[in-house]
Amino acid sequence: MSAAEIVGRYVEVDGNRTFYDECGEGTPVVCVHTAGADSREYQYLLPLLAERGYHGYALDLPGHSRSYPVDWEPHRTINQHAEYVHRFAQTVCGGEKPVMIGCSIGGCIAFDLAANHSEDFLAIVPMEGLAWGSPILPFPGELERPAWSTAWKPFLEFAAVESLGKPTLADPLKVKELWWQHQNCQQAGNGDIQGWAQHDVREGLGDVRCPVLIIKGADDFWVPLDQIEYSAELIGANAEVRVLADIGHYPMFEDPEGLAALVDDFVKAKTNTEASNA
Amino acid sequence: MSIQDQEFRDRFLEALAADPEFEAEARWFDGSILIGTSDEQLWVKIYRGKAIDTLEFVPVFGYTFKISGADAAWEMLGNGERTFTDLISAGSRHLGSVEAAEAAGGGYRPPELAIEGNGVEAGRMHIATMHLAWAFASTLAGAGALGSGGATATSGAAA
Repeated sequence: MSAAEIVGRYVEVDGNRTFYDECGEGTPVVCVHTAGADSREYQYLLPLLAERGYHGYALDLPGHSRSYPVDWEPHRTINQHAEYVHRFAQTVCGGEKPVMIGCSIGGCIAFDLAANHSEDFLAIVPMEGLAWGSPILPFPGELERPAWSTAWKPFLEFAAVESLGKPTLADPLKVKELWWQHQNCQQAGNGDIQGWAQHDVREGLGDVRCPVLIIKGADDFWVPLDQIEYSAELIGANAEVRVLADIGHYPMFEDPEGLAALVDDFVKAKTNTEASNA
Repeated sequence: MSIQDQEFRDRFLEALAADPEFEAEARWFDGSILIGTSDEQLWVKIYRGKAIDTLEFVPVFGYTFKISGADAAWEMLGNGERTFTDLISAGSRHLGSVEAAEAAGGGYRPPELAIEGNGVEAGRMHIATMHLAWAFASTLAGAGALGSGGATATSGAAA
């Protein structure tokens, strides 16, 4: 496989047909997308990580795009997603500890994994996620079905688009691309936000055993900096916070080159892995 | 300038008429939207994608739904400081501390721009309402009532 080539594959996780994009050879890195989206959010980052010696796996979470939902029901908690990602990582990474990158609900999934399975990861990189999700949005369970909320789909689409960093928001084609990445069914995206609103692993972050790089885009309005810093404080010395100027809610989409360098430098500095072959 | 002044109403309706996305999104809507600021209100009749009438009061048959907020909220939309989605979304994101968020009940603080009334109609008019709000905030800013600026930049990006 060429380092820059992305190949789509399927794998069974708990008997559930699960799609993922795969790219590169080397240190495994598992990438988790945002609410109501899919693996395409990582299409620019994966080849850049591959150039630096990483073997990328970006899955579609259950119920999103090409992955079936588990038992035909959406996941409604972050922990359901996190346990699924953990089993996915164990299935595809061949026993090797991966780096885990997640954004938004993927960032909350990253915090859940840090709380419950940190020993199984080389490093964890929550982007635009928190230890405690409640302050961001009210619990949206009463909006789950299309008949209950005619606004849900456009709301989620523009909740995504409008949280881009200002430079990307000024590019109509990039805005359209992100909009098209958020076209999953209402139940899946709503279940994601139900998970976000209930997510709380504040009590479980006192014994995180791998380095954690917490990333926030400075332009994003969804995730406040004080909550990011609070989440880092709960982890303690193993956590590091980076705030990215001119970036919004989607660092892997808005600045994949900068993010690839940031993650690579962090992993090399904090672990004994020499992933980079650049 | 008051939002009830005829000059303001004319500018606002011109801005809406110049927005093809508003016309497309509102194409099959037959209803009325009440816009509220800190001290004033403006009733707007929408039919087949066009704002065809305004009133400075609510007629006896009411309105389909309402979007309202303090002048400061409209100003933040107009100058680009906050986005439409941010302003209409409940949550304690901008309270500045974990303690303040906990005291405010987590995610249950009301939004700065509230959408109330017939939620099903408001829902299917979500994008049209966003464009209407941009036009209203931009007109306010252009009229010198609430500062100047950036709502059109967001509008252009999302179009």
